[in-house]
Amino acid sequence: MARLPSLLLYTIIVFTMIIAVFQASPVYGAGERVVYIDLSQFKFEPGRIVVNRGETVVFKLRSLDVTHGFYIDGYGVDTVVRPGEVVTITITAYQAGKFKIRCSVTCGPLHPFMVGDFVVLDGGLNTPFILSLFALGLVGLLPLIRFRG
Amino acid sequence: MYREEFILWSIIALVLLAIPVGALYTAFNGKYLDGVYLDDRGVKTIYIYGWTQEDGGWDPSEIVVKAGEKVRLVIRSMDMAHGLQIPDLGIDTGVIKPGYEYVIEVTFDKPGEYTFYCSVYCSPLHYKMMGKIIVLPG
Amino acid sequence: MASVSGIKSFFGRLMSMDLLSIPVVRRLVMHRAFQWAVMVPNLIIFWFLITAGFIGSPVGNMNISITFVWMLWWFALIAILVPFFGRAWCTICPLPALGEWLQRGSMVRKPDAWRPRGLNRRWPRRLNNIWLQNIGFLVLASFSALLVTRPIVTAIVLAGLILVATIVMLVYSKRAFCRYLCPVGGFIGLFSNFSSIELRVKDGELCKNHIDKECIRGSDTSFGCPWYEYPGSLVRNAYCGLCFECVKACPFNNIRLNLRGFGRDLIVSRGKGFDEAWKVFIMLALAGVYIVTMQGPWGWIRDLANVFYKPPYGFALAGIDGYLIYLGLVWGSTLLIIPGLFYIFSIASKYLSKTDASASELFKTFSYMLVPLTLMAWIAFSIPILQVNWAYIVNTLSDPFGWGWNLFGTRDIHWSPILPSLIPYEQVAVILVGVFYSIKVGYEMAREKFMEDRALLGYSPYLIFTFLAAIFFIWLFMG
Repeated sequence: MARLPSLLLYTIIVFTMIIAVFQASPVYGAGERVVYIDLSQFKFEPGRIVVNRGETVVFKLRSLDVTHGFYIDGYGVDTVVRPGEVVTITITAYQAGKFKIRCSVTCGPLHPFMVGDFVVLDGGLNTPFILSLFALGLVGLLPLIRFRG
Repeated sequence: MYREEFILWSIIALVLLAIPVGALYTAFNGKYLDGVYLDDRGVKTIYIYGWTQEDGGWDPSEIVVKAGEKVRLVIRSMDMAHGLQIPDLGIDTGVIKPGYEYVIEVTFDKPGEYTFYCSVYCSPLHYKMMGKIIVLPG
Repeated sequence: MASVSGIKSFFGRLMSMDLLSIPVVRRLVMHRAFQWAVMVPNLIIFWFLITAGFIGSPVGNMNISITFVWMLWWFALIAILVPFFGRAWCTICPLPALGEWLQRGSMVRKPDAWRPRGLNRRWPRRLNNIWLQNIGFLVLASFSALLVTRPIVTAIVLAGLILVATIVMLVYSKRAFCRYLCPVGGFIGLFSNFSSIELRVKDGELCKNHIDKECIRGSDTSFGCPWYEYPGSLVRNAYCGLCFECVKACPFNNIRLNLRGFGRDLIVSRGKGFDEAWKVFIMLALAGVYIVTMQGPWGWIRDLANVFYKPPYGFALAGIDGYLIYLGLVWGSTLLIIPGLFYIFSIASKYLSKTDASASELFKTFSYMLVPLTLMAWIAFSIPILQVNWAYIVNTLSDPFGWGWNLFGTRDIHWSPILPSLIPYEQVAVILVGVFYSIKVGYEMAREKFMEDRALLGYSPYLIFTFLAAIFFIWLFMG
């Protein structure tokens, strides 16, 4: 009986530690990547940007219709993009994982749903995703082991 | 029906009635006026509501004032960020976020027509979002 | 070790505690004014929200009707009330308040020679299921992009629900609206089977031998169950509205309100039906569709859902054409594709387990194992609503109509998500909880349904289905 919760707990601890180690490990492979994004009601084009950890990413932002905002979860980027200008934002992709890009200026009815993905790979792999699948396997198999009867 | 319950429900009905009535009263009593009125100091006040051009543009888009008369323009963004500029007078409110208002006090000295525009890029038809102030000889 | 077992027995006792054995709780729910006292303030709040929706700002995130209903209420309902308290929302829901009062002629007290008012008809037997709720929910879901962003649409829907509830309660008896029509009621009922609370009788034999059955017919102090239930035979939470009329009625003090483990009712086979099975698939598929359209990076799908979309260059599918495709996706995936897929897995399960039960029987039984995963997918979908857009709730608290008020000085608090980079991890964790309970519940079903040595083999298709669904969600959040 006591096995199950503790096993779950260990899984979560290990899961978190591995992620922490990956996230904290030093950045390798420098380089620069220029990403052009068109903002329009209510999308980012392209909506999914994939870079490698450690790269310097230069965003060139352009609005096709109205004033939009450009916000990246966890990277502290928040800027206003007015039509007719190209806004340049430079960041270093230091943490791996998937981060949502959001519009931060009310741009119309569906503004809260204007999101995109910013994916930072670690050595070509999306480590948090892989670890999530690993955890899924563990958590999914637990009931089968525990309740064999 | 029990009398106390009837009284309770009457009170609830009054509260329910009071909410829209109170809200509408606030709306039409100075907060949400259409057109022109005189404020406490007797200054002619004109409310201008900014909607994207697709939803009707400036409301009202034509304003008549007299030359030499002091007017108060209260500009409100209704759906997204707008701004109001009157290039002939060098007036620009800058960004007015939706739900916010900006007040300009201005005196038109010369009779004529003054065009005003939206100064914040708000929608694909932004460039059509304009109106005019007709200044009659005082 | 002594202390460990002490803690365990404490938790054990807590987890099977009868809340009605606490004197304060018991006195509270026994009081005739209890439900009235929680419904009426709620009715006033809802009325305020409807008013704001009609006359307030048309900008969704500046109008309290949108922020309170679709951010605060929705999150509280899906992430707190349903998983932990079952149908507790139905206890306090203001939508039927007016209708119930008109129908009873009295709410707080029970009059001496009481007769229900209105036509008091029986609900048609053919509609004795949740299909109308399924359809109603899909209709609302079809224009959700409008519903959750335009205050006026929310106000019309809320006012319309109050109107329909009142009319239905004047024509049909008891809470026919809540049980058979309310579009929200359907999924609250289904998911409350998962919840950690249950209202049951203490001693079933006592109820069986008791002839008067005040819990159904009512007594001097109670109107009797308005949800067409007989507490003595309650085995699932699905249609118990937690109104506590039976507690007020029972002369033997035989009703208990228990804490319990999650997901118990999902294993119960009595009361299972295809209407509820489809409800599971509607909710599962819609969770996927919503996460893709509202939180996904694919702008073109969002364009399809946006009926007012005009493409800049005229060639793209847009407006009504695109919207019809979106409608096809919503209705097709919920009613056909996902259930169809599950049926194929059920056929596989039938052959692997060599059971006598038909594939559709297995389909019905095992569809309930997806309830925990589906509920958690909805919670995962709702997490960013609060964590990202909380500022809108705080802003509208000070400026409910979007007219520039600043009642509490919180109108200008800037939009800034709280720890947004953690959201995917929270979402995955929540999905994993759902997977755990889904597979646990499903395995118990399999061991009951299949022969001992074939249980795991017969279960494997459903295991694969659950894993695939979970991988899909994790991919949406993390991939």
